[in-house]
Amino acid sequence: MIKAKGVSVRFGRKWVLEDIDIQLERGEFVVIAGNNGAGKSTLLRTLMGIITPGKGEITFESGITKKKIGFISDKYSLYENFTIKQGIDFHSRVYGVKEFDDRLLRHLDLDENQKIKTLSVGERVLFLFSLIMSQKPGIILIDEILHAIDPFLRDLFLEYLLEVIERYNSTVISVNHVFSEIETIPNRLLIMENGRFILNETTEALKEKVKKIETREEIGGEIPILYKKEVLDYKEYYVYPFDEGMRKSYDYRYIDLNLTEIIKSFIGGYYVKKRISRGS
Amino acid sequence: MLRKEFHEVLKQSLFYLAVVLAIPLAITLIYKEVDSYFDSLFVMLQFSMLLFSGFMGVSLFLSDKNQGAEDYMLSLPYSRLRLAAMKLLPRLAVSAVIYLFFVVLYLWYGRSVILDYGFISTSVFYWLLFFFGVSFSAASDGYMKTIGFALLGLLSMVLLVFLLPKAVILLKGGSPSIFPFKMDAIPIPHLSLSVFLLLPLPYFISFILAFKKWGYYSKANYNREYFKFFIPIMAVVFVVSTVILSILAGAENKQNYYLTSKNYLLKTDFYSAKLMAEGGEVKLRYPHGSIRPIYDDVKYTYFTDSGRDNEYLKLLRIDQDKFEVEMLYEKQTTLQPNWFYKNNIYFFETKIVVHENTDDSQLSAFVFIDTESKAIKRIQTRNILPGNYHNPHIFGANRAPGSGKISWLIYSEWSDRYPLLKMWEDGKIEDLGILSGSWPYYINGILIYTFEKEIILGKIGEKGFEILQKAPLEKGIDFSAARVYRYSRFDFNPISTKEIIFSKTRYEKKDIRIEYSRFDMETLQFIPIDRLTGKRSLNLLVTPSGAVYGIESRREGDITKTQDTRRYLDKIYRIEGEKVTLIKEFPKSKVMQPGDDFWLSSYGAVLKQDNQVSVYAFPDLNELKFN
Amino acid sequence: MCEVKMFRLNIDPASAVPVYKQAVQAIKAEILSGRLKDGDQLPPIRELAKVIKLHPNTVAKIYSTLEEEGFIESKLGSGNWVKYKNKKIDQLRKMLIEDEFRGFMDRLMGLGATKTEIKEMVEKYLIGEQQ
Repeated sequence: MIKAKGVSVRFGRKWVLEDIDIQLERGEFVVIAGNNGAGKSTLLRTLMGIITPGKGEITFESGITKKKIGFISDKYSLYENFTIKQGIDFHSRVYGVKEFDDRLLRHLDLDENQKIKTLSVGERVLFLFSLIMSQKPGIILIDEILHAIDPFLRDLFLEYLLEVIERYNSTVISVNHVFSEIETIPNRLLIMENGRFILNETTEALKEKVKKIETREEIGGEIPILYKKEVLDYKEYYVYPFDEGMRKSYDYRYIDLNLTEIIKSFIGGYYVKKRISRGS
Repeated sequence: MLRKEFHEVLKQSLFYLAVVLAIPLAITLIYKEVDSYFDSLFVMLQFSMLLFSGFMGVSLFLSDKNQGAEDYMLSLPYSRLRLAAMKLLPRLAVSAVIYLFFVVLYLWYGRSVILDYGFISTSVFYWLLFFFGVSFSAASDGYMKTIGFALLGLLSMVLLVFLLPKAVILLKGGSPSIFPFKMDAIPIPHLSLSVFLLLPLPYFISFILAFKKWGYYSKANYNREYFKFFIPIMAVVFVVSTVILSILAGAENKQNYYLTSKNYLLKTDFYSAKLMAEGGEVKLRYPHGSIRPIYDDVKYTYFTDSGRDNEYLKLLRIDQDKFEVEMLYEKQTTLQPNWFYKNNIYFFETKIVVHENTDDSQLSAFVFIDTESKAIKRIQTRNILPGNYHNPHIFGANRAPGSGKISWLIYSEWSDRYPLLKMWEDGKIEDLGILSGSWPYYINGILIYTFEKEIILGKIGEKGFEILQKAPLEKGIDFSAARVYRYSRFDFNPISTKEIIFSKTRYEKKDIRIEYSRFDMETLQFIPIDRLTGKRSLNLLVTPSGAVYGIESRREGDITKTQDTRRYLDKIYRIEGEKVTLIKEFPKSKVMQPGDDFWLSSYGAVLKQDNQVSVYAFPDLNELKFN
Repeated sequence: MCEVKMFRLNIDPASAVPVYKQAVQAIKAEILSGRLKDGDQLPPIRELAKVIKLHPNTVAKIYSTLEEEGFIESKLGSGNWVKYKNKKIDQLRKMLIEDEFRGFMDRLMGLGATKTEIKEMVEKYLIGEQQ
């Protein structure tokens, strides 16, 4: 379990996270999405303890110490001057890892004496993940790494991630831009905008609450529209929150959406709001 | 983590040591002088170790940043405090080792080399740079900026070092100099300098407290937190240090007392002066200590203020009716004692001329100030004292019969003699050609001096000096017993008296016996004053009204240690011709303690003993209450 | 000797039907088709999760649902096994056929086919089949 209450983070004068309240149970797989600059990476870093919140507090269930939390980011590096072996030794010593699981590393065919700074981004990410695996983590925080690694490594990563989840019932919080491979995995979606959460729902519930309407008609205020898109000569309306009653009242074809589409509609809505507030 | 830090730091120190040991070696090989190896090693070490300690201080987090691992470091399962400690410990250890190396080298070989800024200053700066480096190690990214911050921090602390004594002076009612980087001296024991070591603490403590909240992304956050802690902590430390120093300075703060012509008590200490009326009410405060009252007339108390370090000279007076201080004269120079001459104050300005072995004061100008109009007239003396005559003093004034021109009589010093001179109003100086064996007097219009074994009396006329009479100088006569006349008024008619009182010291085996005699100006005879004869020596005090008092006092304690000596006033007699009357016998102190003292003015006596101050006014020495 | 049978499932991520339900249906279809037989061992949760890219908890839910509905049996320590009664299969077959039928009808009507057209087409088809 990981719980954040009233967490706010300020950089200089600007509050980049405001009043963050979440509670996640063990074994949840959460995706955090949002426009660039919404504060997603900052939130992850704050949960990890890299950034100290100006207000609020973060608690973990008993038994989860910092040693049981793993953090991966494409910008994240260990000590670059370390060799792979030194990195493994250091991390193992610090996190109390008795036996390092090198299966993932063997896929990469690296020399244990080469320095970390010689690794590509993808190799670094997988190296870091294998370190985390050995921690037997209760919580894994993933920060936008999927687009930085090639499809083969991505697949490999996912396999081992699922294994770790199954073994240790880890909670995963993932900040993502690309979802295709993991469409069906997350059980909860959080969307951030300007440092706050604007959405916190299970994916199951969202699938029922977000629908798309394709039509040539203009739809007025009777149906709650998240986002509107003009495609050729017809329009796409993304509806939220949808309820079954609307099928009877408004005779449109309501199309089901996958996770990626749902996220896009929320973010699209943000950019529309931004345009409107700028008066263009 | 600790292991990694030690490895890194050890590598850096070994590199440093290699450079420090190798460069002097190269120099020695080039110049082929084996002796010079240790010389150049020592210089190299002294210069470079400050850079080393500063580098060790600022580099706490910079290597992590340069390896791109700051996030990783902050995500490790250590509390921030433990992280800081693990980074601090190896650097502290290594700095201590290098410092020890310096100490050993200094003790073994520490003679004066090209740059000898002293063991203490090198040590102080070495550790200061380390701790300031550490205190600012989190303030910025990049070596240059961090070092810049640390140096700024150090500079701010230096400023506070200057401000601390100023705060103490303010607290004590004095007025410190405004210029921030001028050190105002305060009297404190040397050990109290350790109070200044409190000043770097807030910088370090704020670092510890702020680092607990530091985030990688925002130096602004960190620096804001730093100031939030720093300002109150430093305020507290500064106030506490000021208070501690004030208390310590209090022990060394000597007070002096002076009773004025209107029977006000002037109390001065290092910092300020207060004028109190009977009953204890403070009527006036003057925010400088170290002032010297020189004379009172009916209305004013005149005093000089030459600053705590003799950096300036001011002549001022207190109006005893309006309780105001008025400045009459101000200059950057030293002052000779002043004399009053009707409405004017006269004094010499002197220049200190630095000779090879001694400093000498030479006449530079003669100034007189009219005390009614406050007009200042200044005569530049043509500095024509013959070489080797130095430290001139006025001892009398003379109006030439006939022309009516005023001249002043001056004695100066030369070897163990006192050459006599005359100065006219236009600044011209005449050597009278007289070498007196002791301080001369000008009384009743007659010049009195000694030469070989005779007392010589004469007149100063138009044609020069005319000897009138000679008298034998009895062995043992202390011709200077009557010197108190020197500090009283000179009128146009010089001091007129029928007699001068001298003392004679006779040694009988191990005993000292002191005899007082009156020297009759008409018969030129010494007439003993039996009543005063005894073992005790008396000082004589002559008041403006002409009354003569004999002061019996004693000194206790080790004379060589000025802090230890205590002075006590025992008795005061009134001497009128043959008649000697005991006016007052003062109560003895119950417990003798350092700081016991007494002060005499023409208007009374002030005693301090048993932590009590008691004041007695002439002529009857009745006690005045100032509490 | 029983071996672990792996299989592919077609999950539509967009569908409003929850993923686990879709998977349960798909596995039931595998059983019906005979590709999964009584006594076959199902893949361990971890392996199935990796292959079909589902959260292990979801896979666990799939297996527990199947067990509840009587299609599989979980043996502690050794995994999950297909085990069903024939009566169950008949019920299932009927249910699935009805589901497919409804879905089929929805899709046709979505394309604008009228009830008459559909009836005609069905009869034509069935006659064709008989021949």
